[in-house]
Amino acid sequence: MFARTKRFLSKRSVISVVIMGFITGVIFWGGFNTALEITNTEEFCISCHEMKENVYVEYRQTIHYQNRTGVRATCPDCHVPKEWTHKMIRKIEASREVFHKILGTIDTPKKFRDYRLTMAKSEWRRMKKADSRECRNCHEYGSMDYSMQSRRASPQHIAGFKEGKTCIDCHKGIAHKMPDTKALTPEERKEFNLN
Amino acid sequence: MRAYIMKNKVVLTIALTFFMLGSTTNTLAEDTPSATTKTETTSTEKVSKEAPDVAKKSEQEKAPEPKKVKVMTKPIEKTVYDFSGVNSLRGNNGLKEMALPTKSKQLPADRAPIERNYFQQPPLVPHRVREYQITINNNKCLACHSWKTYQKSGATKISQTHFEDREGNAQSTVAARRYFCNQCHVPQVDAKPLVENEFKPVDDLK
Ligand code: HEC
Ligand code: HEC
Ligand code: HEC
Repeated sequence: MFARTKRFLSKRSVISVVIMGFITGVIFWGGFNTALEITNTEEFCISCHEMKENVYVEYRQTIHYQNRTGVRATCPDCHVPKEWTHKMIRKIEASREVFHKILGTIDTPKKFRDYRLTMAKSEWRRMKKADSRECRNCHEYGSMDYSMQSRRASPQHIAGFKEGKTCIDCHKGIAHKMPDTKALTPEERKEFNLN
Repeated sequence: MRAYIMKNKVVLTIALTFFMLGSTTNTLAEDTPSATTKTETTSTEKVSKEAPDVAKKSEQEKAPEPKKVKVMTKPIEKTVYDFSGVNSLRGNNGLKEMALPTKSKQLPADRAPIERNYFQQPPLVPHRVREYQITINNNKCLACHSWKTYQKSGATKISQTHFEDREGNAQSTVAARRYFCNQCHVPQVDAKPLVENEFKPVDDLK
């Protein structure tokens, strides 16, 4: 076995093997990254009608779509982590979403409505676990000037951050319509800071 | 055509310079509102066979539409209309132009509670409510104004009358006819009334 490998290596010099490996690596890595980038655009997110006709329409009415500063938060800004490892984990989880797309789990407005709480819950949990990392990519409480915030915002923020609350604890339904939360158990209401 | 341009390169360049100069002076001169409708095309570069002619003509009146060969910049059309003092809400702009942005009324983020003007007036909202969802699933107003939350949030508590249906029967939740808060409670911009209002509340309420 070892001898055969040695013969192979001596036949084609080690250098050329290394170079070939390097080039294929670059090509595959490039292709992989390109695919990742394509699936990380708003166009991709709303290329299916489930997203385009439900959440996207709602999102277009909100401040993250259009505001005075002209900075737009797109779907992946809130739903896909920026750092590589977290991004990979989220991308692998997304295979479940592809599976449900094929099953047609939410392919009618009614099905979407019925399944909405389940989806929202998983997104709330994900954001809470990560201390609302995606919000903080753009909004950082360390950079907030409380004196410039509205009278309702600043006391809530000061008290909330002291208690260890995170953005999603208080800011639900900021980009989409809220789901029907009546079905939540009291424990879940507490978990999600809903009264 | 190409050969023609190459041969007359110098002449065409001079003509073009004159043309542009002419249209620039024209734009500057056109400041006083005119009584008649006037259309002008500025900074359009039209290289045509009779280019020297266009250069001369464009200073005074519109030349017959010359054959466009190359348009380098987008034409900016400015039309001034005179409606003899009767103007639309867009101002006296032609249909092709964007109206100037109007001065929008700012909604203050927060302000002190607004005094009521008459008995049983629904109180006005002294803060912004943009994007506050009032849907079948969620009533954002009640996140602060409900009996459960008003103390913590420091908001005014929702009136007990809002739990009665139209027959006066008490309900355990906010009555359907009171659910859509912004049917009665609305924020206010600082706007001058269009028509003077002489309404005065009765003395006892002052
Ligand atoms: C891509 C950057 C970005 C991301 C990610 C983002 N935001 Fe924003 N957010 C903005 C911008 C820009 C504005 C509007 C600022 C302005 O013009 O006032 C804004 C506004 C807001 C406002 C103010 C709404 C108002 O009515 O004044 C809230 C609340 C908010 N974001 C919460 C969040 C939360 C919670 C998240 C995470 C789920 C989040 N944002 C994620 C960029 C972002
Ligand atoms: C304890 C609850 C709470 C937490 C935690 C919280 N917020 Fe807020 N936030 C509020 C309230 C309440 C308002 C006022 C809402 C309104 O005006 O409608 C507000 C307003 C804002 C505004 C608008 C500011 C303004 O002047 O109107 C932004 C932006 C914002 N929050 C971002 C965030 C971000 C980002 C986080 C996480 C780092 C966060 N908030 C965490 C309760 C909270
Ligand atoms: C400002 C951040 C933000 C942006 C931008 C955003 N979302 Fe969301 N999204 C959320 C949050 C937070 C939730 C959790 C549920 C909630 O609070 O509304 C959510 C939930 C969802 C859900 C689960 C169903 C539901 O409504 O709960 C879907 C699907 C979804 N988003 C898709 C999208 C798509 C597609 C886009 C782009 C058109 C998008 N989101 C843009 C923050 C965002």
